[in-house]
Formats: sequence, C-alpha cells, structure tokens
Amino acid sequence: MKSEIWAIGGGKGGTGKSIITTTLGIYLAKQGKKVSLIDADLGGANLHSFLRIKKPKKSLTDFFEKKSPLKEIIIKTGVPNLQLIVGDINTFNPTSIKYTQKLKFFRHIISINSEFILIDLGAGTHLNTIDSFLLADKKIVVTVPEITSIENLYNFIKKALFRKINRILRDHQLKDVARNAWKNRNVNEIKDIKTFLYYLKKSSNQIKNLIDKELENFKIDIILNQVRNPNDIEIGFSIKSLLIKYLGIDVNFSGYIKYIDSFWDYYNGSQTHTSNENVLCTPLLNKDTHGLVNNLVEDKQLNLFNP
Amino acid sequence: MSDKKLKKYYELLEININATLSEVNRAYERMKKIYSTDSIATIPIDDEFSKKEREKILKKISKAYSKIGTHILEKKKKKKLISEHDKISEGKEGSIAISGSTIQQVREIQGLSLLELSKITKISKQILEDIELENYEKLPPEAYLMCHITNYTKFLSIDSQKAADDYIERYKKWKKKSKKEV
Repeated sequence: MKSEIWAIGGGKGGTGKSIITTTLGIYLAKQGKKVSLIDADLGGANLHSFLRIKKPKKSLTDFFEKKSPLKEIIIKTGVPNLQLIVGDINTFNPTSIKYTQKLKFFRHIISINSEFILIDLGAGTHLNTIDSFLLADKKIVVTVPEITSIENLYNFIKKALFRKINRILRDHQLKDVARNAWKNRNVNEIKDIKTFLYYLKKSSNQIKNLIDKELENFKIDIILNQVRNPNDIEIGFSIKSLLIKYLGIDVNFSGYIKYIDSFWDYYNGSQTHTSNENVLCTPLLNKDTHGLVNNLVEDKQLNLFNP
Repeated sequence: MSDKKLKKYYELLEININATLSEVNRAYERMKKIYSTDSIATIPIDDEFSKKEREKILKKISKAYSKIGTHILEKKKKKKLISEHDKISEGKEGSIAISGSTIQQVREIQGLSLLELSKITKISKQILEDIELENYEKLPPEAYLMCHITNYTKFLSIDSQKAADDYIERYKKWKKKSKKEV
C-alpha cells in the first residue's frame, strides 16, 4: 500500500504547525484511516505533548544515534489507528544529521505502513526541512495573519521552489547551468527567484519546458491559523493569489482555523491527566476543521464566495 | 473567442469556468483590492513583486473581466433569442421607460439609502449612484451593468427585466454617440 505523505511547514515558529498536525492526525484516525505522525521538528519537538505522552521511551534520537529502524521507534498513542514517531528530544546538536542519514530517514519514512503519514516539519528553512517538505505528496504550509509570519512563509516557499528547480535541472544533467546562473547572478541581473527562473528559461527550450512543467506541478496547500475576523480570511485569499501570480505555482487555500482564546488552558491546566481519553480531542477539533480536513483529503479548497 | 483563451481569463480571476456573473463580479472586486492596495500579504514581497508589476497584472485582470462579461452576455443573448422567438409581439412600445431617476425615486420612497442597498446587493455604493445618475462613462461593461441593474431593481420591486432592458438601450445609444465623437 502506498501511503500518502503530508508535510506541514511554513517557516515561522509558533504558528500552530504541531497542533494542526496533531488535529489532522486525530481527525483522520477517527475516520478509520491508519495514520502515522512524524515529529521532524528538529530541536523543538513536542507533538508527544499535544498527545499527552509523557517521557516517551523511543524517539528519533534512537534512529539517528543508535541506528534503530523507524519501524521500531513508532509508538502507539491513545487514539486507535494513530501512531507517532517522537521527535529528536534527547540530542543537543540537531543540525549534525549527515546527508546519508537524511536519505536513510526518507527511505524509512516511505516504507512506513500507513494510509497517511503526517510530518511536522517545525520552524525554519534548514535544507533538511526543505527536503522533507519536497518529499511530500501534499505540501502544507501554516501561517497566521501577521506580517512576520507571512514574510517567513514566502521565504520558505521560495527556498523550496529554488531547491526543487535546482534538483530537476541536476536530474537532467543541467546542474552547472543553474549553478553558474546563480553564481554570476550580479552579471546576469538575477535578483530573486523570479528573475532566476526567467534567466534559466531564456537559456534553452529544454530548460524552459522543464521549469514550466515543474511550476505547474508545484502545489502548495495553505492553512491560515488564528483567524479573528473576515478580513483575516481575505488575507488568506491574497496570499494565495500573490503566490500564483508571482511564482506561477499552483496554490490551494485549504481552509482556516479560528483563534481560540482559551487554547493553552486546555493543555496547561491538565498536566495531571493521565487517562488517554483526553487525547481523543484537541481544541481545534471543531466544525471549521472538518471542512479543512475534507478539503485536504479531496484536494479541494475554501469556497471563494462563502469562506 | 477560443475556449483556451476563455479558460485563461477565468484562471486569471482564479474562478471556475462555471462561475455566475455575480461571482465573476465579486472575484474581480477582490482581485482589484489585492493588486491595487498594500496589505500584510503584499508588503513582504514588495521589493521583488513591485507595484509596477502588480499594475500590469491588474490590467490583465481587467481585460479578462471584460472578456468574460462579453462572453456571458453573448451566451444570454443566444438563449433569449430562442426563448423569445414566440413572443415578439410583446414589445416595449407604449410603456414609459424606466430611467435612473425613476429608480432613485422609488428607492427614496421606500426610505432606503444607497449604503443599505449596497450592503444587500453587494454592489458598490458608487456604482449604484452612477446607475441612478446615469453616469454612463463611469459604469462597468454592459454585461455587468445589466446584472447590477437587474439585482438592484429587484430589491425595489421594480420590473427588473424591463428596467435593465430600458437602461441598456439608453446606454448603448450613448456608447454609439460617444464613439462617433471620438
């Protein structure tokens, strides 16, 4: 069975990637789907906390340091059908992952036996993060309607696209073309990703076709979190449109999640709970999320005229 | 217009090819807002996606909007020609034409403000005012105008079909005249 991989990233920290990953996971599992969550937030892992798992015995640290296969470090959660690979919570040097380790990590992810594999990428635009993002069948980005978050979001997407285009050219023995174009960017009047692509496309028909095809297939799903009013939703539509028109990629505005004032009360105040019954819920599991998950599963998006 | 071109126009407005006229309108209003004003979505890429480039896109969007409008109007006309074939005799002669000022009067009698109607009909206040004052040069393309007048007069319980037909007739005359003058 081929599993569907969803990666959840977006650049900025604190936008709700982890709770959204958890919520999506619980939701799909409740629908009877077999789901695996992977906490790839290197250096800031906390999916297990949202699932109320204290002091997990196995984690990605075992994979990277003790070379345990991923299959052996998957743990059960309180939710039937939902399993978790706890993030690298025991190392203090998270960027030390070697290239070969990364490739092994990806190979192991693909071989996990689940219908859905949801990867929480955490914040930042580290190459490891970008590569995990590009691995996914569904590339989900989370942002909040704040300028700093949106700025990081654009950066994240541009970096991912840059990486992807370079890789496509490399696969067609055109690595040097891309490298030289970027190296001599001042002479070539390359200022940003758009002018970079423009320059490359001009260089030959083959490259033009490759890039055009890649742009057409490069699809992003946007989730807008912490929405407070209808104007915030409009921001989601704006981001979507600007990305389409500026980068020429395909973008879905999959849905939004309303701001919840008492969100942290839900977790902060209940440290004493040990029963996994509580796990079956997150504060985000509500009416809006149903629409959001359905849109993601069915590859649809928010209704433009009735968001 | 080829189907491929038409599809591109709809893509530019980021809507489905089956969108209704009022949906086309709303999509256009939204696009205009995105590409003509600064927001927290545009500011972070202001330096690379410049105002000038955004203006270019806005122009393309306007063209797409007008082309889609013409297309929808033509489709409607074709339908109408077929369905009205049997009732040619029901002409408009004899009845008094509904003018912009008539619409205004009816609205005022009902005690409704332009702002209120703008909220109900989702047509901008400015357009409603231009309709009443018959400011032809400021009005949107014919297809949209027709849609606006129909929607607007419906709320005032005016015979909206007649109001729209009368209005468009005057609008066309003005357009012809103004073309000659140019």
